[in-house]
Amino acid sequence: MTTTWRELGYLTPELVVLLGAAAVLLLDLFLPRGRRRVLGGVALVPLGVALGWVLRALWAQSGGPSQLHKVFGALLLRDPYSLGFDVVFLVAAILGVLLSLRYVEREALPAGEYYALTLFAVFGMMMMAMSAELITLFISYEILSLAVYVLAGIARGRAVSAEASLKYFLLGAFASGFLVYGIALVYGATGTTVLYDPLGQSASTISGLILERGLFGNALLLAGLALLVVGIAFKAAIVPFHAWVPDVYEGAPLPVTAFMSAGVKAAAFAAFARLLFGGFRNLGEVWQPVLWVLAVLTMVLGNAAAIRQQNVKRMLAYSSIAHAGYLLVALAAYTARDVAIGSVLYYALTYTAMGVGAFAILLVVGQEGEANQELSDYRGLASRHPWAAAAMGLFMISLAGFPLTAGFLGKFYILNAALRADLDGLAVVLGLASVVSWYYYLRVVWFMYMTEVPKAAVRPISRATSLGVAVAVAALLVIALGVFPSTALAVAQMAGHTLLPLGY
Amino acid sequence: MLKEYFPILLMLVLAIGFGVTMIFLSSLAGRKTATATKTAPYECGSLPVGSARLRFDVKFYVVAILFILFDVEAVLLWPWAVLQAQQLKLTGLVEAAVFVGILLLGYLYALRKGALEWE
Amino acid sequence: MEIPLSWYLILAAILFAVGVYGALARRNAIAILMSIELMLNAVNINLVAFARYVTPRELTGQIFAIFIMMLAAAEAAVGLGLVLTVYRNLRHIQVDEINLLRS
Repeated sequence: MTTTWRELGYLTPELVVLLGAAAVLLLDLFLPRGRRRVLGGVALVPLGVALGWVLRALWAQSGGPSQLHKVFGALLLRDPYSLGFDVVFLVAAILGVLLSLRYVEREALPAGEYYALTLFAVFGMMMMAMSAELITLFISYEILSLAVYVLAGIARGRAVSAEASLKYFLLGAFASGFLVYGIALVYGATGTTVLYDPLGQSASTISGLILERGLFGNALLLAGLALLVVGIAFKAAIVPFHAWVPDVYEGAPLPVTAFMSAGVKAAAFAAFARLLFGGFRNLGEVWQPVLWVLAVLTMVLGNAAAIRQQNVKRMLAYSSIAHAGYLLVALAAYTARDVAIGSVLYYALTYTAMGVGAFAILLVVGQEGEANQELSDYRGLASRHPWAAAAMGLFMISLAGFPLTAGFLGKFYILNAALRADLDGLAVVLGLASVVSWYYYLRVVWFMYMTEVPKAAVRPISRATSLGVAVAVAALLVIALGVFPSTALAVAQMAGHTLLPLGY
Repeated sequence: MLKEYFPILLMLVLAIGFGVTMIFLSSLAGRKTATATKTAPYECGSLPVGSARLRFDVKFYVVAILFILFDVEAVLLWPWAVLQAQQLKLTGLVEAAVFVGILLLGYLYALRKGALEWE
Repeated sequence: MEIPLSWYLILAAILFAVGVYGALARRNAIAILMSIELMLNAVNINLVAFARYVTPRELTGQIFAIFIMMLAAAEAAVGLGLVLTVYRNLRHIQVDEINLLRS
C-alpha cells in the first residue's frame, strides 16, 4: 500500500489534471446554465497547479543529480524528460484555455464538455510522455485522440467542424489500427511490451532482448516497428500521413486548432523519441534512413503547400507540417542522442509559444463564425492595432527562424544535433526549407506593415482580456526563450541525458 | 482429464434445469390469454414482421452506446477478479473500488444530462 | 495435433487486410467504422495467439486484448456520435461527398 501511495505521488500533476477534468464535468452538471462561464476558470486551476508542481520538480533537480523513478513496475517513467514535456503540454493547454474563454461563450459551445475534454487530452499527453511500455503508450494515445476528435467537432452546429472531426476520427482510428497491430507484432517478436529499463535492472525489455537474442533482422519485429512508426507519424502530422492536417486544422474551432497543433504534436514526438531512442535504440541503422526520407518529404511538402495559401489559418496548418519535419531531423540524429533529445524538447516548447501565439492573433483579428482569416484581412493592421501587429510580427519572424528569436535557437540546436550525427544533407535541407518559409511568414508581416486599407473596410478586433493575456504570455515566452535560453536549455539537456542514463 | 470438465457439466445441467423448471412452473401457475399481440415473437418492441431496413429512432442510439460502454468496461474487472484472491489483496480492492467509482461518475453524468430519459 | 502459431498470424493478417481494404474502399462512414473494428479484432487474434505461444506464463497479451476491446467500444461510441453530428448537418454520411473544406 505504501509503495502504491509513493508511486501515485510521482503522478501528482497527472492526477491533478484528471481530477480537474472530473471536477469540471461534475460542476457542469450542477451549475445553472448561465453560470457555466466560470468553468474555464475552474479548468485553469488544475493546469496551473500541475505546472507549478512540474516546474518545482525540475527546479529541485536543476542543480543536483537528476531523479528518475519507475512507476508501476516500469510502465511509466517520471524523469526530467517527461517533466520537460509536461511543461510543453501544460503551457499549450493554459494558453488554449485562455484563448477559449471568450470563444466558447461567443460561439455558444458546451463549456463543461469543452474544458473537461481539454483536460482529458492533456492527461493523455502527459501519460504519453511518461509511458515506457507499449500498452500504456497505446492507451494514453487513445485517451488523447478520443478527446481531441470530439474537441475538433465541438462546434456541432457548424458543418465544417463536424466534417473536420469525422475526417480526423476516421483517419485517426485507421492509424491507431496500424499502431496497435505494430505493437502486437513487436510483442510477438520479443515476448514483452516494456520498451527499456533506464536503470538497467531488467534485461527482458524490448531494447534488451533485441541485443540479447540478436533480433536485428527479425521480420516480425521490423514489420511491427514500421507499423508503430506509421501510427505515431499520423499523430505527429508527418508526410505522407498528413492528409488530415489542413482540413482538420481549418475546420476545428480556432482555440482547439491552436491547442492541437502544439500539444498533440509535442505528445506524438515525446512518445516517438522514447520509442526510438529507448526501445528501438539498437535498431538505429534500420530506422534512421526511414526518418531521413520522412523528414525531407515533410519539410519540402509542408513548405511547398504553405506557400500557396491565402488563408492564414490554413497557412499555419501547412507550416505546422513543416515544423514537424524540423523535429524529425532531430530524431534522425540518433548517434548524437543526448543533444537530439534535448533539441526536440526545446523546439517543442518554442513551437508551442510561437504557434499558439500566432493562432491567438488569428482570434484577435477573427470575428464570429471564424471570419476574417484571409491574408487580406491583415492589410494595414499595424497602423490600426500596433500591438496586435507587433505580436504577430514577432511570432512570424520566430516561426521563420530569424536570429534572436526562440525559433532561431530551436532550429540552431536541431542543426547542431544533425551535424554532430553527420547528417549534413539533412541539415542543408532544413536550412533551405527555412529560407523558403521566410516567404510566407514575412508576407503576413508585409501585409500588416506595408499595405494600407481604405477607412471604410476597417473591421474591429476582439479586445477580450483573456486573449490579451494569452498573446502577452506567448510573446514573452518567445522573447525569453530567444534571449535567455540557458534555463530552458539546461532542462532540455538534462532531459536528454536522463532518457537513457546508463545506456540500457 | 474428463474430471476437469465436471464443473462445466454441472453448470450445463443447472442452467438447463433452471430454464425448464421456470417454463414448467409458469405454464402451471400463469393465466393463459392468447391474443394476437401476445403470441407474436418478442423483438424489443418493434414489429417482428416486415422489412429489416427500417429506421430506428435516434434515441435508441444513446441508450445502446451507453449500454455498450458500461458493458465493456465491466470486462476490465475480469483480470482483477482473476488475480484478486491470490495477489492483489487490499490494494487491489481499493483500486477496483476507484475504477468502479469512476464508472459511477460517468453514470451520474449520463443521468444528469438526461441521456436516459426517453422523452 | 496442435495448430502452429503461423496459422493464427496468417488469419489475423488476412482479417487485418480485409479491414484495411474496407476502410479504404467503402464510402459510408459507418462501413468504414466497421472495417476499422475488423482491424482491431485482427490485432486481438494476434495478441491472444502470441500470449499462448510466446508468453504462456504471462497475461500480458490477454490483458492487452481486453484493453483493445474496451477502446474499440469507446471509439465506436465517439465515432457514431460524430457520424450523427455530420448527418444532422449534411443529411448524408458518404465520406467522399463530404468536402466543404478543401478550398
